[in-house]
Order: sequence, then C-alpha cells, then structure tokens
Amino acid sequence: MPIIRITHHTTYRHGGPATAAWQMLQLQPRNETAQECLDFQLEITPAAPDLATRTDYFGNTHHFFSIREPHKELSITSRSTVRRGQESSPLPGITLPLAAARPHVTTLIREHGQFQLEQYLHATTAVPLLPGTAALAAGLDPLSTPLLEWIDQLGKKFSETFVFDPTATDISTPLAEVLYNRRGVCQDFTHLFISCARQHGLPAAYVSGYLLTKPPPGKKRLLGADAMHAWASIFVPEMGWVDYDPTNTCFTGNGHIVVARGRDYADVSPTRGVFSGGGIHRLKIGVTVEPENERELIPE
Amino acid sequence: MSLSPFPSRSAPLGYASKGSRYDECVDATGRLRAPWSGFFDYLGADPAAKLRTATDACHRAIIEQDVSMNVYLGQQSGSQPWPLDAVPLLIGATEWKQITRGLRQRAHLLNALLVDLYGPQKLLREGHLPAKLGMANPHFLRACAGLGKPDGVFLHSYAVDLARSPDGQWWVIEDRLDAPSGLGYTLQNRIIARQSLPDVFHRAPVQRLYQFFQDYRVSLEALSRNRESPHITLLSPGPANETYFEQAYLSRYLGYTLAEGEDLVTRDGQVFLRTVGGLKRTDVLVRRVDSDFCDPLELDPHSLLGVPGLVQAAHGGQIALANQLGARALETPALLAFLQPLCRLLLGEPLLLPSAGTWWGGQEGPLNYILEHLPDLVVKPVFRTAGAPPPRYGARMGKAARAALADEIRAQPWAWCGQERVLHGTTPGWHEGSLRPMPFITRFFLAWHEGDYTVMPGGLTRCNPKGEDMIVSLQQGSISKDTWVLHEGKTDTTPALPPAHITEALRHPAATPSRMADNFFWLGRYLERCSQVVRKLEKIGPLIRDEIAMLDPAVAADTMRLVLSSQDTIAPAGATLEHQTALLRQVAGQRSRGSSLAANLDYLGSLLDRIKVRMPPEAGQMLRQMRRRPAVLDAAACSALQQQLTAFEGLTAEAMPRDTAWRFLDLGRRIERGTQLLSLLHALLHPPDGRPPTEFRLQTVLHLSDCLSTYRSVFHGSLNTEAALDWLFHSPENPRGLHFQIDRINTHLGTLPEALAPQAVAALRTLASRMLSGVRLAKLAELAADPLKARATFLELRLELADMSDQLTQIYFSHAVAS
Repeated sequence: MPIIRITHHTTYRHGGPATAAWQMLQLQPRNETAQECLDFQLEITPAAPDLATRTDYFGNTHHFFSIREPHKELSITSRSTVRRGQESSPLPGITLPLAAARPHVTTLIREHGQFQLEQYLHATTAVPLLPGTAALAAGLDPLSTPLLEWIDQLGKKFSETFVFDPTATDISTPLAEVLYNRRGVCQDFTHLFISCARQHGLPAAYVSGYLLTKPPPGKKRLLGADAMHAWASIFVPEMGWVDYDPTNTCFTGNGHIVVARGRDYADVSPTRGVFSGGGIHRLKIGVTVEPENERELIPE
Repeated sequence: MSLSPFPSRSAPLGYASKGSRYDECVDATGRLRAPWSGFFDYLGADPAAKLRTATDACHRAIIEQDVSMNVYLGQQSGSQPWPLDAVPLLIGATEWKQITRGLRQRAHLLNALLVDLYGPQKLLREGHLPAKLGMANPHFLRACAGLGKPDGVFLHSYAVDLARSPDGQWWVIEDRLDAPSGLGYTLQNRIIARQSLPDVFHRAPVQRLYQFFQDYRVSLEALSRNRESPHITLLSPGPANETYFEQAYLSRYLGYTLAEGEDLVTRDGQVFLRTVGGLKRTDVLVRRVDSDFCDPLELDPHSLLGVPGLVQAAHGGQIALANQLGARALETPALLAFLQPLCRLLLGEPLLLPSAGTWWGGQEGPLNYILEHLPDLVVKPVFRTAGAPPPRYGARMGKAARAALADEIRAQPWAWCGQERVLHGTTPGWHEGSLRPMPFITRFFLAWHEGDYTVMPGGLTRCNPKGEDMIVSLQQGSISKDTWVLHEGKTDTTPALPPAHITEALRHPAATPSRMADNFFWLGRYLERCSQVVRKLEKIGPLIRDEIAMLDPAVAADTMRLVLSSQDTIAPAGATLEHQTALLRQVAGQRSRGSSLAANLDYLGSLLDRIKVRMPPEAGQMLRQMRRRPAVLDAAACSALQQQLTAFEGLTAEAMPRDTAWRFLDLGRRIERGTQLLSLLHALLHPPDGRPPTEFRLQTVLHLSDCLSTYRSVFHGSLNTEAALDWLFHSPENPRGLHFQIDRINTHLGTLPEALAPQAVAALRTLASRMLSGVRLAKLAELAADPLKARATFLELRLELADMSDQLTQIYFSHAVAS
C-alpha cells in the first residue's frame, strides 16, 4: 500500500489586472475502495477568504472560492497525500462477453435501481458518439471474448492506431479531429475510448487523476506523468467499474491516483474560473507525484 | 356573471363558430353561451361601435405606455408594439373552480417531481420515471443535484398553457417550469383592457388580480431566510430578451430591483447587488434567466447572463430562487406520458387536467404507435436543445417526408415523442372590423403560497387572428387578450389598486445599481453632446454665407475647424467653406465613424434601449422618432433632430423623479455641457492672430453656445469680451454657463453615497469645489485680454472635468477604487 504525495501548481497570468475572480476546483483525490486521501491542503494567492467545498453528483469534491482584490496573477497549489492500494486483479476469463453484458446493463438500469449507469451511455459535449469511434472496435469478437479481454484488445488497437503527441491537440480540439489526425494526449484517447465503449452498450466514464512520476524499479516511465492524467472507467456487469488507461494500454494499478470521475472532461475539469477584467490569461501547470516514506506520515 | 334575461339569443354581429371546434361564445346550435350573453348585453345597442372605440382605446394605450415585445426576425429584429385585442376571453365562475383544482394539483405534482429529481431520485431508482428522461436529459443540471429539499419549494412560480378540445375539455398544451414569462404582460393587459371597456368590466363583474400579486409578494418574502426585510431582485436577461418589457414592468409593479447578471456578485455564499452605495445583499432572486445560463462557473461557461458562484450560493441556502435552478429538466413532452401514474403514486389521486395524448419513443409499444400514426401526430424531439429540430406536423408532410421522419425516429427512438393534435377551441376576437372566431390558448399562472398553490384569476390568452393556423405564437403574428374570470353573482370587494410602495431606488439612494447609474450618466453626456453638435450643424449654414462671413472671415474658418474636429475630421487645404460644409454633413452622417454625430446618436439610442423602461413612456416614442431620421443630416434634418433632442431634455428635466439615477444623468449632462463650452471658448474666443475679438466673433461664440438671446436680455448695449465672459463663465444665472454647470456638479456630488470609497469621494468633492471657486474667482479682465492665459485656463478646466468623469466611473461604476 504505497503512500503517494502530489503537489499540483496552477497559475493564471493575466494580460491586465483582473478585479475579481471566481474559481471551482476538482483537485482533491477521491476516497475509494483502493484509495484513501490522507491529507489535502490548498494554498491560494491572493488570499481567498471564502473557501468552501461541496460533494457533487458523482461523489467528487469541489472547492469554491472568490478573489476580491485586483490581481495580475492567481496561483493555486494543492498538496495531497494518498494511500493507494492495488484493485483486486481482474480475472478476464470469468467476465461475460460483450453481447451478454449489454442486456445485463439494460436490466440493471430498468429493474435494479442502477439508473445512473444510463448517463454513461450517452453523448456529451466532449464525447460525441461518432461512427468512426464505434468502428475502432471493428474486428473484436463480441460473442465469446470475455469483456475484460475485449477491453484490453480495444486498448491494444488504440496503441497501434494513435500516437501520443502533446503538440497535436488542446482542451478544445473536437474529437472528430483527433480521430482523423490520430494524434493526441491522454484526455483525447480517453474520450475516444469512452465514445467507442458507449456505442457498444457499455457504460463508460472519464477519470481524472495522477500518475506516479517515478516508475517502480525495472518499469518504464509512464506517459502523462508530469501533468494531470486521464483514463477511462468501464462498467463490467457482475464486477463493477474497471479502470483502463488507453494511453498506457493497461488496466490501472497502484500508481494511478483517482481525483474525480464523471461523464467527460467537462464534468471533472481540475480548475474552472471566471474573471472580471484581466484580458487574456495564460495558464501554467506543474504536477509532481512521488512515493512518500510511509513512516514520516504516521504520527507516533 | 349574472344570467342574461335573454338566455337563448344568437350572437350579434353575425358571429358564427367554425363548426369543428369548440367555441367559447356560441354552442353547436349557434346560441350564445351564458357569460357572453351578459357581455353583449353590457356592450349595449351598438356593439360594433363600442368594440371599435375599445379597440382604438387599446391601441392608444399601447402606444402611450410604450408596451412592447422584442421580435426575433433576423435582420428586422426589434421592438414591436404589444398586440392586444380589446375583446377578452371570458371564463365562468363554475368552470373556473374546476380549472383551478386541476391546475393546483398539477403544480403540486410537478413540484414533487422536481424535488425528487434534484433530491433523492427515488422515482428514477424505482423505475417510475425512465432513466433516460433524467440521465440523458441535457436540462437535468447535475450541479444542482441536492437543491431538491423534501420540505422545500422547488417550483415557486408555475405557468401552463391550456387549450380547449372540440368536446369542451381543457387540455394542457405545455408546462412552463423554469423561468415562466407572461405575468407582467397579463397585468398590463388587464389595466389596458379594463380601461378600454370600463363599464362592461365593472358590470360583469370580473375577479381582480390584486390579491394574487399580494400573495405572490408575501410568498417570495417567505422564501428568504432573512425574514425581517428580505431584499428581492428580478434577474433579467436584459433588454435584448423578447419579454424584457414585462420584466421591467413587473419589477416596477412589485417594487423589486431589476438586475442583470452583471449587477450581481457572489461572495461568502451570498449574493450582492453592485450599487453606487456599495454591495447590497439580496435574499431572493425572481429568476427570468434560463437555468443553464445562470452561472458561468458551474453551468454554461459561455453565458454572459449569469452570476458566477450562484449555484454554490443556492446550495448554501443564503439565496432563494424562484424558481430553483434546473426546473427546465421537466419541460420535456415525454413527461406527459407518465403524469397520470405519477400523480396516483405521489398524490394518491387521478390527474384532473389531461395533457395532450403523448407517446414516448423510448418504450416499445408507444414507439410502434408513433410509427403507425405519424399522419395524426405532432412529432417533437424529447429535449428542446439549441440545435433540436422544430415540431413536425405529420398531417402536413408528404409521404416521402414522413418515411424519412420514421427512419429518423427508428434510428434513436427515445429521442422522440409523438403527440396528438388538439384542435384548439375558438373565442371571439375583433379583427379588421368584424368579430371572428379565433383559435386560442391561455397561459395560467400559479404561485406557491402558504403551503399551497394559488392561481391567478386571469391569464394571458393568445389567439391567431387568421383563424386557420394551429400554431399560436406571439412571435409569429398572434395577438393577446385579457382573460376575465367572472364572479358568481356577487361583486368584487378587493381593492382595485394595491397600496402604493415607494420603490427601493428612491428610498435608498445607495440601492441604485452601478450599471444603471453608468447608463444614466452616459445618457446625460450623449444627449448633451448630440444636441450641441446638432445645434452647431444647424447654425453653421448661415454663418458661412458670404455677406456674414465677410464681417470677419477668420470666425467662419475657426468655427468650421472646431465643428469638423468634433467629427474627427480636418478639411483639406484650400477647401472653400462650401466644400467644408458639404464634407461636414457627409462625415456627420457616417455611422461607421466613431465620433460622428450619427454614431453618437446610435449610441444614444442603444443607451436608451437599455434604460427606457425606467424612463417616462414618451422616451420610447421619442427614440422611435429619432431613429427615423434621414441618412443625410441636412439643415432640415438637423432642425427636426434639434426639436426632438430638446423635447427629450425637457422630459429628463421635468418628468423624472429626482432620484440617484437622475442625478447621474444630470452629472453627465453638466460635465458634457461644461466640456463643450470650454472647447468652444478655447477654439473661438480669441482669434489666432492675437488681436482682440471682434464683435462678430463674440456674437458667434454666444450664438453657438445658445446664450446670445439671454445675453442680450441681461446686458444692454454693445458686445464686449469681458461681458461675454461674465455671462458664459461667471454668472450663476446662466443655465448654459460654466458656473451653473460646476455648481450643479457640486450639489450632485454632495448627495452621492460615500460608502464605496470614502477617500476617493472626498477627493472628488474637493476637486469640484475647487473648480467652483476657481470659476468664481477667475479674473475676467485677464482672460479677456490675455489669449494665452485664457486658453490655458479653459484647457485646464476641461481636463479637470475629464478627470472628474473618470473618477466617477472608477468609484461608482467599476468599483475599482479600494475602500
């Protein structure tokens, strides 16, 4: 059960002075079966006198605050300490094939009170249900391949199809363009993966989080570790939500720290702000994720 | 209404129903129904003449009171007079009781549904409501989940459109839950209709609306946690919204602050109004902005209509919203297919008011029904999003188009609803000189009040004058009517008019919103600027005529240079005065030129659009007149404009209360007038060659500043520089002179609130009083004799006025000075 310490800096730099600002953050790691957020601290400059929190519809923690003084720069630093365990290793062989999973999902929604699964089956602004994304699963076998294996195979097809390229896209690049250019970052691959899974009848969610910067000995460094990371979560009947990282072609492990879950990036964006005045701003982000010596954290 | 002594008459004026539809006025055999029988009795011997008179009175009142709606027609968008028919819709007392029972039940039901959707979501969990209607619903705002409190009121105000089917049954056509409109127009319709048919109204007798609005006010106050004296604000999308007029009307009637998103800020979980006296807490928002646009931080990030942080404030409970955010989620037609069982489940009783038969494609049986009955149905998208297709009428589609629609439905069945067409009943309306049956729908209004819903005894009826179309939309040429709910026998004892409340703005100078003060300030400046330029344009013609220009050729040239420079233009070298005049008229008329007269008039117009609802109704009429000016601003056009602007100045001087907004308007006017006068003196008083001004030059300066006749009435004999300066600069008696302007500025500044920035306000007052003593103590002989000294003085004073204007903006409008 490694303990991981995350430092996340965000800086807005304005062209001119902003007279006021309102911010909503989703930076605090979730508490989940395989993860516990031991500590979370926020530092905000200039001072934010009305910091408040709320848990949202998806169970994520939001922080809200406003800045009342004129400022040219707003800096937000969050420090999280998380104990992260390994989810019980999926046994691909025992899961249903896709064709059987689909009606199962429908029954769960209609008859077993799991109505919330429905929201992970539809298009959202950031995740249009494009025929081209559905076709990414072409050639996979829905009838006999166990679902977890199907997901893994889809991930492998992704790694053959798409190239990680931080210069190719930004937050506003439409998914169709990513699909066409076959280049992008974790957020794009996650949206593509979700779009594909939803069209095959699988509830699929978007997860934002962090990756351990330093790989365990003997393992190679994973992509997307110097910023926030994103991956997909797929609902597997009789098992539950299973997280899959299409950028690194793997089911997530104890180096993946979950911050927020939602339908797409828009549901979980780490910082969202409105400024009065200030003109155009530049955003600078820095993330450090490192394992912590456990003894230092536990008080005697 | 009492029964007519002639119970089985046929309708007068050759009125006949359309046969296939239910008619309010006559039954199937052509006999008058009871309420109408009385109505025609009271109209008297010549009903046609009476209705003609009433129609005229109606139209006059609409124009006089400037009742308007904004119409979206692409390029031709703009404000249109409100269409109102003098003939009301009549509803008998017995029938009304039935309708209200159904309406109240429906409001309770919809409130319970909203509370559950934004609360425990039991109905979704237990499958009483299909998951897709909540989870695939773009209007279900997840940020608002948790706002549904079991003991709370989610739906404070509810509006619903009803129509009559051929069998006489009232049917629900559409529920309006999010930010229903029409309350203000209904009130305005009542006031005008009552005045248009006064004796009929009183004899009927008609139930009054007063008590409803009284209850409405009380219930809004009860929503607030701050029970002592809650401050209530009407949050409006602004003047471009189609129903802005009624929002302004309603806020005035109820005495609430009319605000836009920009006027409000959130901090510490509370909502504040930005006023010239600082931040003023508000406790309740009457919300006329659609939920999605209410908070760019958590909802639509592109919205400019919202207040960042409002959703979080709503969660904290320090601000009450009527209605709560997110109500639009249940405006989906698909809900209608489930209301009957939901009503039994939640209220334990059958649904009293039927909705138009609705089938939702998300269920197999109903889907098949839709596909098999396309020619008889109206097909609507399940969610009315921005890009959603309009309703399609199967009956009007060709075979191929229907087949294509069927394919569209099959591709995503849950995204569609089929609805039966209700053939709207008709009611008499006066159109082009005759009484005709017109298909109609009526919007009824309910508001939460002490644990129940109260129904307004009236409503907003809209009908289609052509009498054919089944679409009734005010945006597409329909007209509105007042709705008279009749008393049973007895007369109404409720007072006709509510007791007067003095509005917030007048009572507390500090309650004037900053943006409103800003607009009034610039209205004052632009009004003055335009009228100064127009005056000069008007006067320049005679000035350059040869025989006059000959008196002192430099005067004409200097004047021309000044006026041209006010239009940001310099004459080409060697151009004759005639050429320059032609150039001047040309540039003054160019709207695209930032500082031209035409551009200033446009800006004046757009300012007026923003604040005309707070001005006497004549302002709207004057604005329309001003906008009809010709493209070329020749002498005749300028003279007409001059008259209009003068009339407008008179309106602002004599027909507005002396409240804080007016003080800002007058501050703008005085600062601008002083600035213009100083520019004139700087450019024209002393000739460039340093010689003393000629009598003609002095006369021109006085003439252009509109002071010549007053000067002559005060000073006798010939003109001299010192006397002219005395009148223009020194004299407290000259309302166009500098002393007068600065004196007024001083008085206004002394009354404005200080709370926003006490030090900066004190500095501003010091500046003004220093200017005043500077003007008082100026040595006129020196200014008359020394051109350099004079120009330097004029320039310095002008810069001080500019500084004053900037300071006012920083302190009161931008809140940019730290307190």
